[in-house]
Formats: sequence, structure tokens, C-alpha cells
Amino acid sequence: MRDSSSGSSSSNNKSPTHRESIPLMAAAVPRETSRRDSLTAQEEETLKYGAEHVIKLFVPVSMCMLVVVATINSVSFYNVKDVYLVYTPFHETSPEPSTKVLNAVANSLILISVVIVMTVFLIGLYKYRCYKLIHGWLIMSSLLLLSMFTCLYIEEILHTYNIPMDYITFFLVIWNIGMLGMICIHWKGPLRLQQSYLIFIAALMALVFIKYMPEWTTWVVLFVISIWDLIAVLTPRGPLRILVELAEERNEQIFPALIYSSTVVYMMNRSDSVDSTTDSQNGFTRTWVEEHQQPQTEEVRVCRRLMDEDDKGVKLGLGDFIFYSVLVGKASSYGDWNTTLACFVAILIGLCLTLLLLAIFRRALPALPISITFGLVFYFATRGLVQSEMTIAELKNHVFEALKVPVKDQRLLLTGRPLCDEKTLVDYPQIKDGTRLNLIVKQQIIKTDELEEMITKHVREHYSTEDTVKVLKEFMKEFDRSLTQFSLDDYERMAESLLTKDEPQKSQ
Amino acid sequence: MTLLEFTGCALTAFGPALSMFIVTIMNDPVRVIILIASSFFWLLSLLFSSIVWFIFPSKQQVWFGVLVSVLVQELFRYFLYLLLRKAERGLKRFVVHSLVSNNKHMLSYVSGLGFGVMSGLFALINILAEVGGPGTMGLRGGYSAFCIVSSIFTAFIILLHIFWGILFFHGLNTDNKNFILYVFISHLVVSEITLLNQYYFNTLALCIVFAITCGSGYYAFKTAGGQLPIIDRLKNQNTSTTAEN
Repeated sequence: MRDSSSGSSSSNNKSPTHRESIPLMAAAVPRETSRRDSLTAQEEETLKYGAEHVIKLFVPVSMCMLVVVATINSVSFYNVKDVYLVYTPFHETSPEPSTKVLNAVANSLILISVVIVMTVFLIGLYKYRCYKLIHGWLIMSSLLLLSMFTCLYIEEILHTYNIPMDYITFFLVIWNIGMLGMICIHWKGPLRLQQSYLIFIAALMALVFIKYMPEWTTWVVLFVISIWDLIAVLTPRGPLRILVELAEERNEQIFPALIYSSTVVYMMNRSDSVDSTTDSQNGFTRTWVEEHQQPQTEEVRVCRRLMDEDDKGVKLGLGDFIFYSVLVGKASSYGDWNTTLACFVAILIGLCLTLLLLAIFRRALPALPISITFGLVFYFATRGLVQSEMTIAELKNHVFEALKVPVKDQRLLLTGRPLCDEKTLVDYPQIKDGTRLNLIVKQQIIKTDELEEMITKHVREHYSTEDTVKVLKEFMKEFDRSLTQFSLDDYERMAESLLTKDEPQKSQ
Repeated sequence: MTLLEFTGCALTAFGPALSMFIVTIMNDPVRVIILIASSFFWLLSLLFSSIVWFIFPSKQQVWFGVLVSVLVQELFRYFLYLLLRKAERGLKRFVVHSLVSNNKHMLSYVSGLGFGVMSGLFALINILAEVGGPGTMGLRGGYSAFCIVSSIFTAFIILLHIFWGILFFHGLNTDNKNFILYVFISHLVVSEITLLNQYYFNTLALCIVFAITCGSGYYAFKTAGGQLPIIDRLKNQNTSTTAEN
């Protein structure tokens, strides 16, 4: 404990001088460019590079989202919920919204505590210079990602497009992709290839999250993780802040010791050619959580956030990629493109604002909170307000798709009252998520005569709609059977007791 | 039919905007950011008007919803103007590098395009998604030219938003109320005219919108300092030998 405090305090002592010597955004610029008066030139450079960096982040973030959205919309596998993560033991099966919310909160708390524990663990490792261990951990996890999840991904794509492939070819393909990725990420490779591998990994991870997390949990997790991001980066004792200070104190470039991180650096460092970008380029890193798990057996989770102020270009952690993509992918999984688009723009704007703040504060900042908040707000607002104008007729179309009951035979009842086709769901404020509508299939109703209608009315008070129909059916069968067994004597006796009501039936 | 129709509709609607984006905007990061910021503002306006619509009691009066929506959109265009005005000081700093501020109408053009693209996407993207799917001859048994008519409308709206952006910002810059009034009224007219589509007056609506687009385009062109005679002069210069300059 004392160690850690002394470590961080020494870093505090050191870091200011360090900050001066290895400047952040603008201090180094005048050295390079002195064609205008230094202040203007510096600000100019700042803005210009700032804008360029924003775009350089927009492109990979958009690409990652694109991969996720395209996959979600074409490969149905990632939309089907059957298996869940081990970290999310509550599966939200209850129809009650309140229970679902509780489940979701519990799930996300479990998940976030795993993240926190792993982050702290990693920082502990870094603090005591167990570089080899971190190293091995990262290699293991990326190998796992690249082999298993790629395997899964390619398999599902082949399934979807119905392409046959023999195991040998499949193995060869996976091997080549995986090995090339490992080499590129952990050793060296062409920058573009590295970048695309990292984007691919982030997209895979996002897909896994979307697939294996229960519906509501995903949203709560997004919210919780951005709060955690905020805390971890900004509070004085936040683990990621400690990490930065440690790295600064050791005068290491982000995590030079960690190959994985340095590749993240490479990747986000999108100023392609090294010679053109001298130290004039400002550096900000917000590298976040590389998360990772292995669904069935033993879970490996690496949470990491790296920050650096000494490097070229603006950096964004893979974790940010992952969670942005989770948000957009999840939004697109409901099949409405407007929502997806709104989330996409909201996230980009959030990223823009974060980078603007970066230029103002000139220190590592969490990239998740603003973007994710915007994304969530826009998701729910667009879904709730803009898109809620689903008419009852459209709802019936959905019912048709799900139950194959023809639209014209459907009658939807809300607490006994039929819903009008022309009206929208908004017109029935009672209908909320989880509201139960009764579906009556008309064909059976049409057959019923007055007698059946009457019986239905009474039976419905005690049974659900399906049961009513069943009971009615049985009742009518019984009724028919006994009618045919009636003899003339029976009728006469009935007629006597009920006066003359059954005359027409007697003639049959 | 699906893929062909999808491509055709998508390019009809977004072709002009796409080429404008590629030619004038893509290479300048600042412009891209302004584009995204303005589309974000359009989204905000949409959100705001949908909130108004949500709390508005009578859902039958669609024309009123349109009116509110147009009002809110123009309001947010004004907010965007205020924001850009504030940011302009910063943008002017890199006059040397960026092409943003070498033309004072550039900002309004870019933001207008952002507005247009976003509204166009919101109007059309779900239709396009359905068109791309299996089998679409008239969505849900509707009018079979529905998709192409919508696409053409979208293209017009995108162009109109650019023109409106230029006119509106110019009006604010020069304190000329007429420009703003024109923008508002033409926006309102165009939006209300689209209501005619439900009665299948497509051609009529298209013609009116086309006329308004042309008019606004010319107006914006003049405002931005474009001169039509320049074309004639260029022609003359080309045919005759260039005497001076």
C-alpha cells in the first residue's frame, strides 16, 4: 500500500516536468512550424490536426460499426438468443418488466465487477513489472479471439450463404487468418493490415456481446461501463489514471512492454508514415478495455486501458470500438434503420465532443461516456418517439409473421375492447412494453352462432382466450353429440317444460 | 427487380448528395465534421418535433404536425447558425489550410447538405431497406411507383435543404428578413405538398416541388454570388481569342 502511494506520488512529482518536456498537443508544434507567429501557428496546427484526427477516428469506428451492423442484418445467428455468457446468470425470462430490469442490473453489476477486478489485476501486474505475464495473457486472449471467434463467424457466414466448404480448407483458412493476425498484432505487419485486424477483433467482440448478452442487460451494461470509464479515468485514484501515471513515471511509451498495447498504439496511430509525423504531432491516448472471454470453459478477461500522451495521433481503445459497435449493432438488430442511423450519428458527435474536450483539457479522457450517453438517449428517443407510430394493422402484420394467423382473421383485444386497425399504438397509451393483448382468431368466432357467443362471454370471464376457445370447442362437441342423441320424446319433454321454444329443431 | 430498384432508387435519391460529398467535402476534415454536426442538429430537431407530436392531443391533423416540424427544423437551423458563428472564429484560424472559410457560403452549404442528407436518409432508408428485400411490387399492395416517387422527392428535399441553408444563413448574415421568410414559407409549402401524395397526386406534387427547387436553386445561386452571364462570357472567351487576362 505504501509502495503504491509512494509510486503514485513520485509520479505526481515527476509528471509535471515530464509533461513539459514531452509536450502534449501544442507545445511541440512551434518547434516545427514557425512560419507564422507561434501562438497562431500552434493553435492552427492543433485545430487542423485535431480535425484530421477526428476523421481518422471516424473512419475506423464507422468501419467497425459497419461490419457489426452488416453481420447482424445478414447472419441471423447473432440475433438468436439461446446461450448466454457465464457472467450473466439471469436470463430475463420473466414477462414482468420490473423483474427484467432487476435481472439486467444484476447481470451488469456482475459483469462490471469482473471488469474492475481484471483491470485492477492487470494494473497490479504492470506495477510490479510482471511484463511476461501480461504479455502471455494478451497473446493467449488474442489467439483465442482470432481462432475461436473467427471460426464461429466464418462458419455462420458459410451457413447463411449456404456455401459448402470442407474441413481441410476451413482449417487452412482459419489458420492463415489467425496466424497472420497474431503476427500483425503482436509483432509487426503492414499498418493497414494491423488496423483492419484490430477493427475485425473489435467487431467480433461486439458481435459476441450482442449475441450472448440478454436484451436489457446489454443496455444496462453500456450505461454502467461508461460510468466506470468515467470513474476509472478521471478520479484521482482511478486505476487507469494510475496506469497513465505509472507509464509516465517509467517513461515508457504507453505500454511498450506490452506488445498488445503497442499494437493498439500502432493501430490507433493512424498517421501512416512515420517520417512525415515527427514529434510535432500531439498525442492523446484513450485506450480502453480489451475485453475478452471464452464462453464455455475457463474465462479469461483482460481489461486494460492505456493512455499515453507522448505518442503520435489520437488513440482510441479497442474497448470503445467494441461498445460503440455493440450499441449500434443492438439498435440495428430491431430492424429499424432510422434508429441505427440516429445512434451512429449520435456516437460520432459524442466522439467529436470528446476529442474537442481532449484538445481543451489535454489529458487522457474517457471516450465512452459522452458517446454512449448520446447513443442511448437517441436510441430510446428515436425508438420511443419517432418510431412508435406503429399502427395496429402493422402490429397484426407482425402477428401474422410470428403466428401465421391471417391478418383479416385477427382481432386484437385490450382488456376486452377490440383495437382499431387505423389507430397507432400511441393512441392506446395503456399499451406499454409487456402489456398483454388478447388475440382472437376470427374464423372460430365466425362459426359461432349466438349460443356460442353467449357461452364464450361467460367462459371468458374465467379463462384466457386460448382456453376459452378450447372450452368452447369441447362444449360444442358435447352439445352436438347430445343433440343428435335426442329422440322425439326428449324433445317433447323439453318442449313441455320450456313451452314451445324448440319447435323448429324438432322438425329437423 | 429488387436489386435494380434498390440501386436505382438509392442513386436517384442520394446520387447528387453523394457526388457533392465526394467532390467538395470529403477531403476536408473540418467540413466533414460540420456535415456531421449539422446532421446531428437535424436529428435534434426531429427529436424535438416528435416530442411535440407526442404530447400533441389530436393526431389526425397531420398538416399541423408538418407545420410544427418545419418550424422546429428552421429553429434548429438557426441554432446551428449560432453555433457555427461561434466556431467560425476558430475556423478562420486555419484559413491557410482549410477551404472552409475561403468562401463564406461554404459553411452554409455544408450545413445545408448535412440537414438534407439526414432528412433524406430518415425519409427513405427504411423504404430502401424493404425494397432491397425479397419481392417488392408496390409495398404492401400500394402504388407501384411509390419507391421512385419517394426517391425523387428525397433528392429534391436534399437539394432544397442546401439552398435553404445558403439562403437562411445569408439572410441571418445580412439581417434580411425576406430570405428567412422565403426559406420558411417554401419549406412549409414543400412539406405540406407532400401530403398530396396520399391522394395519388404525385405528378402535381412533383411538378410543384420541382419548380420550387429550381426557383430556390436559382435564388441561392444568385445569393452565393454566382452569375449566369458568366457562362455566356466563358463561351465567348472560348470561341473568340482570349484578349486580356
